[in-house]
Amino acid sequence: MYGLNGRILEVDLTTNNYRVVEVEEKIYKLFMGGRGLATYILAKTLGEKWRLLDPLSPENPLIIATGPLTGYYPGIKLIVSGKSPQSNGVVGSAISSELAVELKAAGYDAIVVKGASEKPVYLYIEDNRVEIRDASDLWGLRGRELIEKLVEKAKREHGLERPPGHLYIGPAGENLVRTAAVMAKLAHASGYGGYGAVMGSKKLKAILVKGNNPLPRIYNPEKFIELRQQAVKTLVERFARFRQWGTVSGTWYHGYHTSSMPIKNWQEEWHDNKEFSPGGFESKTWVKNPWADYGCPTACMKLSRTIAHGDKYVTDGPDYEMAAYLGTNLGVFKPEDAVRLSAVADDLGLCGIQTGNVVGFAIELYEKGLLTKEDVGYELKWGDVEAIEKLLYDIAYRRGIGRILAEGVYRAALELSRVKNTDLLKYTVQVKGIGIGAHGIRSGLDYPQPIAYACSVQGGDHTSVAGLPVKSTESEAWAAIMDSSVVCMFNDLGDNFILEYLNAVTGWNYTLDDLYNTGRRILTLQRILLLLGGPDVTWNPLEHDDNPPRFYEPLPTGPYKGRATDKSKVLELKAKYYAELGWDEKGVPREETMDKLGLGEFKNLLKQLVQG
Amino acid sequence: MSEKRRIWILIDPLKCTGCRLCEIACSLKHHGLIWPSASRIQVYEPYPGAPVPVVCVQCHDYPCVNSCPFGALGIDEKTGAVVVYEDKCTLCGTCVQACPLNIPRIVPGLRSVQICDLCGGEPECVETCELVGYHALKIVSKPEGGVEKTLLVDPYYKSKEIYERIILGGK
Amino acid sequence: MQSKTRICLKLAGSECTLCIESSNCISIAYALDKYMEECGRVDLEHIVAVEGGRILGLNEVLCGEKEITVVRLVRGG
Repeated sequence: MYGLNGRILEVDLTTNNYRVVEVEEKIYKLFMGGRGLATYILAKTLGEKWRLLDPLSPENPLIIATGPLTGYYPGIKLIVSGKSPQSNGVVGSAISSELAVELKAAGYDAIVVKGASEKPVYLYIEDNRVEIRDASDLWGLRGRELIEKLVEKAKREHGLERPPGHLYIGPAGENLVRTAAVMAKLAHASGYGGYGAVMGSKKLKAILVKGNNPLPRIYNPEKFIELRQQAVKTLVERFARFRQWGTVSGTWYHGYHTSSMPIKNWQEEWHDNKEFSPGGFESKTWVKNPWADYGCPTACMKLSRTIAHGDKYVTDGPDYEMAAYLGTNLGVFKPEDAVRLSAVADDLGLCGIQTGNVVGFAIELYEKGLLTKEDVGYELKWGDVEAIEKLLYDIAYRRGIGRILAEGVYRAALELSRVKNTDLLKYTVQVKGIGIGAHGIRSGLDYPQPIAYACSVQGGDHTSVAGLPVKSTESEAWAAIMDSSVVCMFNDLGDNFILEYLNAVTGWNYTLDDLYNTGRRILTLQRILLLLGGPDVTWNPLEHDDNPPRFYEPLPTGPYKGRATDKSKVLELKAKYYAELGWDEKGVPREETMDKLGLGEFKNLLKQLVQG
Repeated sequence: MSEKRRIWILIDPLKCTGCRLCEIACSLKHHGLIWPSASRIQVYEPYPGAPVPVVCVQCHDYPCVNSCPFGALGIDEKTGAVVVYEDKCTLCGTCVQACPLNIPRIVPGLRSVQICDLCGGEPECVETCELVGYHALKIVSKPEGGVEKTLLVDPYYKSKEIYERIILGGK
Repeated sequence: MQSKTRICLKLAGSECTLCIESSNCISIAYALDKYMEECGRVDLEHIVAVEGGRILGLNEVLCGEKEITVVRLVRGG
């Protein structure tokens, strides 16, 4: 086996045990790693009882998975997964963390954390040493304090050696907030899916990994070195401006040019506020540029800081998604304010997208008189940073209205609809329990197609959007390949290049068809588990494979005023997309498709679907 | 041309992005593998946003060379880099202790201690850092009179200082 | 003697195809610029031109009849 260790570390926090599981190469060939491997493990071990499996119960594993290209391809990403407490399906949630390369150097491709501890613990892994350690002095700490404390611990333990790679949760994860992220390095988040809550349900505060071995051997070292140099060179040449401004460029690009940025809970998607732009963020907030993760020549990150009432707020760029969701989506149009709210979300371990989505929903309800000061305890207004910061804390600590909003936008809307006895779901901008990323589809000018979210197996996840043709980098099959290989989507150099790279590292001799079939295989299995859903909510394809109502309302402002998503187009593309994937008209994978993809052993899961 | 004019790696942590491409270049050059632990240059980023690269500075008094009980360390005539005679090294760790920053690396799986050899005069780490345009590592003439040791600051301390001063922005 | 150059660009998932004709050779940077003008993408860094699986440099020049696939690199963020 090349490029992989062929070993998974399985830790059981209930019994305080661990074991190493060997994985055959044929499994990697079918599912690669990352999202694919996680989906396979979940379907194989829990498929039969999926519908009854509570994502926040000890039975739901937390999976941390790398892939064959992790550490070899420029940039670094790993996948956090499990049954999602947001969609009740499987989400492969990507995050940049040095832990990925440490894990591979420690001799494992993935960690599967099972069970739950009674007391707070953290996991320490160094090569063959695996320890479940007491974390009572870490529990309750917010991101920044936690990192500072972990550094002191590392220094005590390792002297002048480098500290281990880490993943952790903030208070939001500890309090089982469904919009909680698994975090790394202050401002990196694995947000989609809500795995911060899964980690919290296990009383697992952090995972630290240190690996001393070389990365697994490579099939064709000469070819690998040549391709790697080519990748580094191309990324440096082509992404010079991306290095300069990173995704922050989207604050103006998507806000002004493509009319696809969420504004006030997506009531609008266009702004012409010149200050809320890469230049604005750079001049008002940046203290370091660029900032990079392991092996990355692109360096899209920056560090920003702002001071309010004497308190210091530090975060990255912020990334476009944060600037959009904790900025314009909440009526915030000052870079300093967006930095402040992003820093608060990071510190609390909240996913900025999902939390900004549910907060936007709440402010709109307040604006419409559907939520009142009595419900909230204070006034909610667009752009009111003080109130929004308070609400972020209330969500992370599940206080007051925060108790309901902490359930994420879909479940919060269900509960509030019940309490208020009126339909509030129509104000949610989510698909299958997952708030939609900050890339609208109404203008037709941004990258996602009209079926992007409606047909995604990861709901509103903007990093995993459905699109046609299936055998292209515009499709979700491609996202599944990136998340399984595991390659950072910002360092994507096209399918043929990734294919060549994968073959040089693994020696699999994949064709382009093999590669895309792997993507189809992963999507097909994810789709089945998503449709199984449960236990609290399940999805009906006829109703839920659709855009939120807001996307069918015409854009009210900007140069593309009047544009809306065309429902008939969505239906047409959906039919075409499902047919191309070998799924039936409701998007249920056909038996012959499963046979063709080598998913025969999972056909029994289909039967549950048909019966149910 | 003075014989004493030797190259030296100047490190500017403020320009370092923490990408560790220098480490990858180092282990590929010396071992043909990506091996973070075996890289002779190590980037520490204990405090986010404050990465600090650490590598041998070729102290003028070579405490590591002088400490070795087995004569396994020498000095390269041309570059001034520390030379490791692999067959003599017993991995006893004396040089690690003798180094003010414990920079020589004893790595499981390798039979001799790992110390920067300046790649014979053209360090790959510096080349990579320049190629990608970060310029945190630079080749300069080696300073004289013990100045090189000013770079030997505990990377945890250095990172914290940058984090507090630049990232958080002072008191 | 110069033969005519005709380059057609297509982005997967988009209905917009652009063909450029010229009596001279055409640079990739120019072709991509034109494509964005016609098909409404404004950020050059988000796309690359690919021919037969190879990523073309911005400074490369194409002559003759060529089919180019436009690949979107940076999605989202």
